[in-house]
Amino acid sequence: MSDEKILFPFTRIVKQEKMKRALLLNVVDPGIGGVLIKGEKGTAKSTAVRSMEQFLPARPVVKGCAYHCDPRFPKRFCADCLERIANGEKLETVMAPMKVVELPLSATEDRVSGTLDLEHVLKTGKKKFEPGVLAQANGNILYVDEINLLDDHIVDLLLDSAAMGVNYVEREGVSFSHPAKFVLVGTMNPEEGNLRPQLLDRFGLSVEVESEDEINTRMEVVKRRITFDADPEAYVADCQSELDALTKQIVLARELLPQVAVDDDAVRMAATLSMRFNMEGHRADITLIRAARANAALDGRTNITKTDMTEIASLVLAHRIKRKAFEKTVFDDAEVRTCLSKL
Amino acid sequence: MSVEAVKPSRYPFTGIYGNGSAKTAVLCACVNPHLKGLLIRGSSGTAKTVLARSVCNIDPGRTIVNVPLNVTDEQLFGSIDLEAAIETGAVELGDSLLHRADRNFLYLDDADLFDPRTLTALMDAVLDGNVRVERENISATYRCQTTVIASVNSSRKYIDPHVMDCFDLCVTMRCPENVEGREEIIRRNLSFEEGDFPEGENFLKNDTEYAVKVAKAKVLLPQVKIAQVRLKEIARLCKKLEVKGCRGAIATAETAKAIAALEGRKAVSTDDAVRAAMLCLDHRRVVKNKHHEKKLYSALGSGENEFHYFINHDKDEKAKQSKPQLVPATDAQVSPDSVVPMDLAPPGTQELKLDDVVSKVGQTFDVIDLVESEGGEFYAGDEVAKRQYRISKDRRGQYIKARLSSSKNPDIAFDATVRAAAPYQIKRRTPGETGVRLEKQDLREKVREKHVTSTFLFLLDNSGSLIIRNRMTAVKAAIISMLKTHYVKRDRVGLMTFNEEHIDLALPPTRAVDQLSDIIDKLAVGQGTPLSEAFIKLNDYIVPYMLKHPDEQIHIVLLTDGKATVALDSNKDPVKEALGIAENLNIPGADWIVIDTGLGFTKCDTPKDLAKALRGKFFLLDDLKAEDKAAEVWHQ
Repeated sequence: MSDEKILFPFTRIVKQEKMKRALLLNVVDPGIGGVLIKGEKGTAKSTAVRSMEQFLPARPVVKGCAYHCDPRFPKRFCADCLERIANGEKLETVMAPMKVVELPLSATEDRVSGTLDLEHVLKTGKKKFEPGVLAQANGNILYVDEINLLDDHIVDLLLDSAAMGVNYVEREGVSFSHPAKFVLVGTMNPEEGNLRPQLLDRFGLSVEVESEDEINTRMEVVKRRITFDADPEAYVADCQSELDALTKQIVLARELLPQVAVDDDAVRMAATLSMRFNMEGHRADITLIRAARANAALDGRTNITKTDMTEIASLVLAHRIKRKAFEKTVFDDAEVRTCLSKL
Repeated sequence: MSVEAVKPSRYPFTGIYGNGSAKTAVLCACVNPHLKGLLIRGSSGTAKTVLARSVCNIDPGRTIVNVPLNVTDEQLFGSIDLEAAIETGAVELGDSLLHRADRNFLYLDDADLFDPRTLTALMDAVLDGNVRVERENISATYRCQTTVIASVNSSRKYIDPHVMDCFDLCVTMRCPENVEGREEIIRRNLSFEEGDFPEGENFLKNDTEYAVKVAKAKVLLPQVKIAQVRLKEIARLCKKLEVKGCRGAIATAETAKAIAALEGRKAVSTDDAVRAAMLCLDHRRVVKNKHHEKKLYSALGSGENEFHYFINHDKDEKAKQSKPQLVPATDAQVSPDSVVPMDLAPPGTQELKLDDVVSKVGQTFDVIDLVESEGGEFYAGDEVAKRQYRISKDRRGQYIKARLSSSKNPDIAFDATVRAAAPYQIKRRTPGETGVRLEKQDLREKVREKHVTSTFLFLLDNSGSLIIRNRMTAVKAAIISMLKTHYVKRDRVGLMTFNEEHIDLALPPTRAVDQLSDIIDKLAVGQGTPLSEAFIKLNDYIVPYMLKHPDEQIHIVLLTDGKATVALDSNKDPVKEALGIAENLNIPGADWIVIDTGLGFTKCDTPKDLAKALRGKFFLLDDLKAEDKAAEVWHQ
């Protein structure tokens, strides 16, 4: 978010392929529903998320709209845009890069959901809505660090908007709603306790990152970091071509996405996996398909293969497995393969 | 500034797979305005919200008004019309959610997460049909004829029974048990989201068909009669199921009328009553903690699809001949949209005897219990206890209301302040001036509320005597059992152990509750029991902890056999000294629970005396094995 601080580039993060893949899948198809990244401190969780801005592609937005409405979907326009259209104004389209909007833990409710514009009321005696973080997040990535420590009532707010794609504000004298469709990315340290199940289920994907045990990998991490710290600007400039390539890959994948065929085999794979892992409801099923499709598109293919499904299965299923209290379950990738091989 | 009502989901009502009884309930709620509330339960991702939002498709005259979780009272019930007051000085009632909901639907997502006070007040107003506003210079009453549709996630095991009772109808959304069903749902969902939805047209046509049916039923409803016999049947049913109060009976009668009207009949049949009972009484009956023998899921049968029944009424003549029973489903019998496990069997012959009616419903509920008991285990993340809230003093937490400011440096509630100042603007303003003038007496400050976290600190005597008698397993089981029955995700758990060598804070209070069982497994054994010293150490730790965490309710659970062997003052008797310290120990706001881990002949009265000295509760370890007993530990 900040312009002044240069972030360690995404492409130079050593390993952590699963985490990177999970994030990219969401950029390709924001409908996947976000990522929850669990891991100890110092595993490049936050770095990866924050530095995504370096390669996120631009997207069309309505010029001057506080909620970055997407001109391609007039049905989802905010009240302001609708009013402008009603007034006969022609909306201009500009390209704006997707952003990572951060929600600080200490954020208050009114700042998150938006509130009464005090200055406007005092000056004019008329009510006006002042947009909050959720407005900024529309069409972007909403990032919450240490999401498991977020206050309950803020979590409730996120749940509501994540579920409906709309932020309904009915408080502090304001009655307003605006589109709030965002990719929710959360990072957390599981030692501090887990997430509420309702919030957990809203995450399309989850990934557990571990610190690297291998000496060589660790050395590589340190080496890169030291080079970066010595001259961040030069370091980022050095890998600009990698970042550009990544942007290109994403743009391509997005174009390819609608062409990826979801055939009966893919549907069968998703349904079978969900049954096998005893998934509640149908979010897992649908997310399996979406993630597999995005995975195929990211690799430049238009068909969903078993490999796609195997690669993304743990991302979708691991955090949704119902486990009894005080029982440990470890997600087993081998089981996914066995399950799929029978089809 | 205007808001539009929730844009109804485009997903068609009839496109929702299975869940016939839930759909029937929605139809009834549309038809009969006397049915004021419909509660949709289900695990996450079972189309609860989709179902609720599709209601406009079958009742196109009405819209859905969404109530966000963090709604404040003045927005919900109404308050002074700010702009008008500033402009003209008139004190009038402004717009409110309930006002907008009049003749429409009111939708509450995750209803269990609402502030219980708000929810109760809301339901009271809806049941009454009138909203009374008495706040901020406003005294007004307005009509609100609305139907509340609420969804609740089934991972919450605790819902206020009073709130539950306010809902006339309650249904549970379920997933199909077969791969084919799941596949179909995926297909419908994907094609729907892609916008190219070939079957969509069909579903939308079906929706229109139902809209017509609903409209007709609405007209017919005033003519539908319910015979005395039926009412008697319903009353007997309620008694049998131990339903408290008479809201259940009334709801059942009204639902039965709606069902009859939907089928174009003017008289309520026994079947209507039975089917209505299934929708209205499940959440109200007293569930017996019966231990059913395990049966296979598949044997439960999918029964009949009630919802389907409306369309296929004539075709079902044959099915009607069959005896009412829970039929095991064979695949051939089940059409994609009639997968409704646990529903009643095809409606039986018209005249059932009353006892049959009762046993029929009883039987079905038994089956539900059986299935539910499969899920009766606590899962990680389930919330089984009531959430507690407390007024926050540190400006954090949810802003729930405003009050006259009393402090010098208030946490200003701007909206309330401006509202308070609004009516006086005409007087305060000099001609030609715009803007709002605030004066000192207008100042309102925010009252904030916070969720209270419970912290359980286990103070465990792990001296040799405990280990020798092999009591560690029992101790662990008891701790886990206690936590399970009070398992709320946001709770903290800590463990302090004591023996002669160490007094250890093995686990500082943490939300990672699951760590506890690992730590107990690895506990080292020591000699001797320095009970007095443990008390002092605990006191030294917990008092600063409580200062740092003012929003936590601390429960200290002491597990000991009471055989203190080491005193602080070597001249004193260890047990007497410990009792004395316990008597004088003053940790404000902490609850004590003492659990006697002693066994058989070695048992002594010390733990009981300790409980008395600590003004805490007392339990025997062996009593805590049963989960219902373990739950008692936490009861106030």
